[in-house]
Amino acid sequence: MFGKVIKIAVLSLLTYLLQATTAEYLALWNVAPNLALMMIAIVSVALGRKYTFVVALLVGYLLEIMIPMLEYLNLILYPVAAMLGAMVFSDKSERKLGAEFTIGKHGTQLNPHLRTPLCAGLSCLIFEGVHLLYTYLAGVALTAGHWERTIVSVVYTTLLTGLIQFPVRWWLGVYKLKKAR
Amino acid sequence: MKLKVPKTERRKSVDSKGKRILRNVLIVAAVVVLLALAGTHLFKLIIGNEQLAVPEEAVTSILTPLQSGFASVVDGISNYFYTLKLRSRLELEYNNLRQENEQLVYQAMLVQELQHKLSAYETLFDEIAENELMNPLVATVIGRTSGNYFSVFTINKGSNDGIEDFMAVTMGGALVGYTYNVMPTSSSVRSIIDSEASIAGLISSSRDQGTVRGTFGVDGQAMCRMYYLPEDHLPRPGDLVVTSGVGMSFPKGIPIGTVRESTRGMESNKQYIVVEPSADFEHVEYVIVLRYQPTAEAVEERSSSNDSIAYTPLDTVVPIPTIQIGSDFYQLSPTATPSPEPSIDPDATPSPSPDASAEAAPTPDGGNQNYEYQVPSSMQTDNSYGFTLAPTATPSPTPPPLDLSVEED
Repeated sequence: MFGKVIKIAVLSLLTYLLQATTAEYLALWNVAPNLALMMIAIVSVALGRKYTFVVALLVGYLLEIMIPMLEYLNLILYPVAAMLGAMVFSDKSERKLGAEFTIGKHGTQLNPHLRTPLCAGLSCLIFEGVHLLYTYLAGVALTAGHWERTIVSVVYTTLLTGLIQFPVRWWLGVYKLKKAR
Repeated sequence: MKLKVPKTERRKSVDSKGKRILRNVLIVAAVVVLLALAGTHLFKLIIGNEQLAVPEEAVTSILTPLQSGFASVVDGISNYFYTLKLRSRLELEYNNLRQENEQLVYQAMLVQELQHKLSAYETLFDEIAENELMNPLVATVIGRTSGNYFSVFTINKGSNDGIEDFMAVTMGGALVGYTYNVMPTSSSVRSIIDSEASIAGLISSSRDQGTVRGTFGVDGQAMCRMYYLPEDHLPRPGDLVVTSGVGMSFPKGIPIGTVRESTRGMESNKQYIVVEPSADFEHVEYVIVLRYQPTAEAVEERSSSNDSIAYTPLDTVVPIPTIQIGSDFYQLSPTATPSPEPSIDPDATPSPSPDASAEAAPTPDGGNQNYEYQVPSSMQTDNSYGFTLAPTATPSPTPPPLDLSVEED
């Protein structure tokens, strides 16, 4: 039990460190992927919403106090974006699946390997959307360059999540759990 | 009816339920702590109370060294990959530059070759323009002997182009040889340095006439020797030797070479002079064949004239090689040199005999001055000494000092 908690703590710290130090080196066309949201999305699908909230809040807090860009933004935006993504793409409970089945839906969920990048993409889209909104409200006219950067960021984050989800999920013990079941 | 659950199963269920509760408690505690920290931070930002920054500073103080270490590791990895990338770029750039350099070198070589060709063509054009009456024809050398005894090469023009045997072949304003073994599309050219070649020549300054032969088969030198000169005159180094127009259908006045060494007068049996050919036999690529045909008047006049060279060898001719220039070796053995008997036999050499060829090979200067070979202006150079030697110098065993008998240009 404590192992999982420790793993979550280490993962949160690692996520912050990667976002703070490594993301800039992975920039594509000068657009860096959002490694923090990638990790949070993986946690969302693999471990559920409670852990998602903890990790997102911790990462947001660390980014807020260590790399403050806009006041409150990281602290609020990371948990919000992560939770919105988790709401859509995290594992559904058995009760919810049963309820869906009773109203005529399939009552199944997508493959987690597909949900993970989609979750990251959604979170990133929300994150970028808020930034675009803030930029627009600050009086800057949005150009094609803004949209282009947003699209590149979302697509790049989504694709990269699809790649790195396997080692992270393995490290979190998701595959071991599935095998045991 | 109640199912009986074993005690161990019941204990496991209780344990897992306890763990779940504990985990939830921990999560809630973590969330509460995090929310507290976040709230503190927010309040600090709103109120501006510095005391609220204490937890934040604690986290920062723990995180900063950790982040520094992590950043240095990431930077190291990044630098490593950057170096790899840079190296691959440098290698790529180096390969590109190398390829470009090779192309440029090739182009430069091509340009050099074209320049060389252009220069050769200019010279050829000059020569052709100057000697239009000689019916010149440009030919390309397409093969040459690689032996040590004969100097013969093949050109790409033959009887289809009007070439016949014993026509003069020039290059750069100097005689190279004459044609023989003419085929429809190719001809052989025997160089004047070939031992088998024999051409009537004269000393330009003194008008002394003789026979020029090659020495290539004698001592391996690309030189000529001139035999049968009058006994009372001694050519001097630097004198120009030209064709006399006697014998084969050669135009008169084609430069053969310059007198390099005179051995006549030293001893009674050394009766020839060494002539250094003007043509560069190591770089023969394009030549001009002078398809000269003497007119009937010229032939008639020549047959009635007494000016023609009589290829009568001197009684005293014993061609023993003289001192080789640039060597202190004196070759005294007469067996190493061609004996005068076979070489002066008109039948054994392509050179015309005084009697038989006199009819077939008229002199080109039979009253027609236009038939004299005109050295192209670009090729007209003084001798290497830069002055003209007196044509009737007194015989002496060695060349006299250069400043004693010169006429300044």
